[in-house]
Amino acid sequence: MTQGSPFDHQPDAELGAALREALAAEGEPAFVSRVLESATRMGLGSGRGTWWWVLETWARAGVAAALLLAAGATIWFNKASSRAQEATLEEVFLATAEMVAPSFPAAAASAPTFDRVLALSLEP
Amino acid sequence: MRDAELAALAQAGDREAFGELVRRYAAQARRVARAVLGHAEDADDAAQDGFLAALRHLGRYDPHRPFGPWLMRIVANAATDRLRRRRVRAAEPIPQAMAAADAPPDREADRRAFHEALRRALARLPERQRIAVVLFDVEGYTHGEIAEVLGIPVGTVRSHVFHARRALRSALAAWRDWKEDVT
Repeated sequence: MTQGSPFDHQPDAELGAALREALAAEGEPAFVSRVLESATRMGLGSGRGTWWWVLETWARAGVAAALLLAAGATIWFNKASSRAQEATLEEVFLATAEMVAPSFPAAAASAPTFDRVLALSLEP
Repeated sequence: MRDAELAALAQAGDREAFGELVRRYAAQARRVARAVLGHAEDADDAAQDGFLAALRHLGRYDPHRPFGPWLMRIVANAATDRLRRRRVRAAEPIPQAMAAADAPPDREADRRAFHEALRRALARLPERQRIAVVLFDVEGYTHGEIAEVLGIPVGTVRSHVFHARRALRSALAAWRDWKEDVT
């Protein structure tokens, strides 16, 4: 066994071989079988990885995304409709006035009299 | 087939691919676990825990990096966890004697005694030194890969390997001296 330094990049072949033998364990095929049996009990090879398992995984993600989207849309719609209900009285009057008023000033050649405006406003 | 391809297949549920990975790394994993735990049966349990944990977490494996260090990190952690649990139970103290005084004279017995002395010398080292020297001198990992396995700087790995080697070499020299005196 050679004397090394902390800067030695080469493995010590003699020490390595001695340790390899000292740490060697028997029954490797039995060990491999044992690990595979445990892995099978964990679910390895029981449908996981097949095309329908992958599709099922994707479908699960898709359903989750769709649910999230639907929830978001519902919240947005509720907020939007509640904002519409909360419109001020002034806004309602303004909107109504805009619907009614443009018919006469644009069509008339001269400014309408007060009586005419009142009459148009009261028309059903 | 490359390790990364086998890992991808195993992650998708391919039993054969996982089996191939276990076959490729079984000896290495068992040696690393035994370096930590000393006891062969405990080491096999830890190596198995490591393989199963690796199977569960194959999604976290980066296929662009070598599989061995990733797996050995998991195995070393599994062995260390098991060692801690064993310490808590305060089971089986590590014997301090270098070798039994009544070592039989035949060659096979000599070899066994030598290995036993080596394992005892290894057992006296700190855990990280044990793992570092085994990965470097037995498994041929680079300092950088061992740093990845242990989650420590490369310089610390060099230091661990150096100190572990020095301790093992002096222990083995002592064993040889003792052997010469006996025979």
